[in-house]
Amino acid sequence: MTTTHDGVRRTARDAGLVAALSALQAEQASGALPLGPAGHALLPESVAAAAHGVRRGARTAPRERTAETTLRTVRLYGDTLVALRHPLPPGPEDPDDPWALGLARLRLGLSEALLDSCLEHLSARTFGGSPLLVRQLVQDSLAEALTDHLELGELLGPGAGLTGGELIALHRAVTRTDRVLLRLLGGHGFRTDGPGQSAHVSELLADAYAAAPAAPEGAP
Amino acid sequence: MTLLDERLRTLQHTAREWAEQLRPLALALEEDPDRVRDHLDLPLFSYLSRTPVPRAYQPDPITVDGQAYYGTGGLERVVFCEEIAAVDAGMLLAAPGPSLSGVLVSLLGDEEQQSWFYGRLMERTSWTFLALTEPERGSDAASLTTSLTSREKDGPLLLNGAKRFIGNAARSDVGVVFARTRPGPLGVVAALVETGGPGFEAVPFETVGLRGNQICEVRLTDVEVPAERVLGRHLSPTRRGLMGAVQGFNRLRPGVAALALGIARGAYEYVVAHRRTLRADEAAGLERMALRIEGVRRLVYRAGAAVDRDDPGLGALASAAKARAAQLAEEVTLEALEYFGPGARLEHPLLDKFARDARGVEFMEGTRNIQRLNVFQGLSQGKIDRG
Repeated sequence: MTTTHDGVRRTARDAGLVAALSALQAEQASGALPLGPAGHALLPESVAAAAHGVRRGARTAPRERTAETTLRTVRLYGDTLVALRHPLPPGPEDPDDPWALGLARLRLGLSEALLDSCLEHLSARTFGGSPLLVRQLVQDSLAEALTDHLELGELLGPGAGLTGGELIALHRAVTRTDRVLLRLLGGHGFRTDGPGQSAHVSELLADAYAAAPAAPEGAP
Repeated sequence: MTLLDERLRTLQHTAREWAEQLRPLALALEEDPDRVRDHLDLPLFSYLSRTPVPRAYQPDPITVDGQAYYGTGGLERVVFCEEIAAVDAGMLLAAPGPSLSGVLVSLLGDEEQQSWFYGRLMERTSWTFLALTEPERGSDAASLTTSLTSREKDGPLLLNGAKRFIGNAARSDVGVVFARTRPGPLGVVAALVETGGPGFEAVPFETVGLRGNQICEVRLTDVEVPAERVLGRHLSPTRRGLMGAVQGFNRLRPGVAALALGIARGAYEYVVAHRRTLRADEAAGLERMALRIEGVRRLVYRAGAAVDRDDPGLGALASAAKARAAQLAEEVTLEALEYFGPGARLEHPLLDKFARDARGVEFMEGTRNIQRLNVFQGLSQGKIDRG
């Protein structure tokens, strides 16, 4: 499975979060836990179990299971993902974060799949006898989401050179778009056996790997 | 601007204390909604199991500082809901008591029906549910297809159909179900339904948040409903049908708005409690958040007061408050997480819970789009007092 810039987005859209995340890990951090800026990882259980090292950008270190903390497991359809925290490898932060870029493409693909789910769901539901898709407020939200996807697709395309701060902003934008789409699904988007759970795990990925640093406590 | 009198300030203060007792239980209850049974002796659950019950049917009201509380007031309801939801909205929705159906019964039930419904709840603590939404249609209540008909003349009324997203249905003894006796808008009625008989099946399913509510799928197969359990026999068909439902939901909606407001406030207070030192931009962001919360609180209070005054603008005011509060809950909970840097959702499970719960208020009693249409209707019909 290819995970070039378009590959991971496509895989996410067609095969879902777990498949795309596994492929991204195999390509960028094979055999290792990719860590977020504060040492968090969120991966499919089997992928995490097999990792013998940790990676943050270009920095690597052996995995020390005694030093890590499992924070949560998350169910996604038939799969389980595990969230943990591990000490970061020594060394300064890289200005580039290819993992956060790959994840942004992955999350964009998931958001595109969410739009597909919305189209399917809204064409099957009616209000006063006509499908919800003919309602202007619904069309407005769908048009908004598609425009977001087009814009994000341009920014995240091949050769994208984005700073850490820019990637954080793009991840935030994906979350916002997902929320617009989830609202269109009503209660259906709140079930763990539906598209709403995938969107939730997508938000967790952004939280672990692409959140802005908070001010350190005790800093002036 | 709606102000709280001393009686409501007392309730607010008391509710805040009751809610605090729940904070340590929030995550465990989310894990297993049935754990609420271990805590039914807490004063919060005592209040919720005995409200809203009209004065006439409540011989033993909750009393605080010598004041009796029946939970039937609109402003009373929103003040209370905000306080509990600021700690754990799931807990509020997990509680036994008359809850949503209590509001409907007080509006549509005749004397005998109210006496039967409240009487049994006063006798024995039980969960209740309110079933309107169906699998094929959420906001389109007018098209509901669950039927309440008899097969033979003078035979028993039989309930058939399916409902979805019904909180607490699996653990309730009784609830209110909306069904159709004949085609057309006047053919919709609400009936009191007992869950113990044959043909009533409620199956919980997992949700992203608000898990305490134990939301269910409900299947109804020839569930027998005695004719005297159809609400509003004493009302004209227009008032007991869909119009009655609309009125009932208008009275409930400020409470949902307050739930969303509480979630937003809870997330804001979490930041204030756990982030002692703030950068200038962070401090400014928190200040903006506090102002937005206060703005929505004013809208919610106004909607609550509109219930108490029978304000013709209630529908639109309640929708405005609910839509804005649901938006606030989503935005503030996401923003609050940003105060804790990468991994916030993993390291701060209570804040993560607020963010997940916030997603659940959007579709309760109508999505944002439906509320907007209601607000416009209030504007175009001149029902909102614009000062």
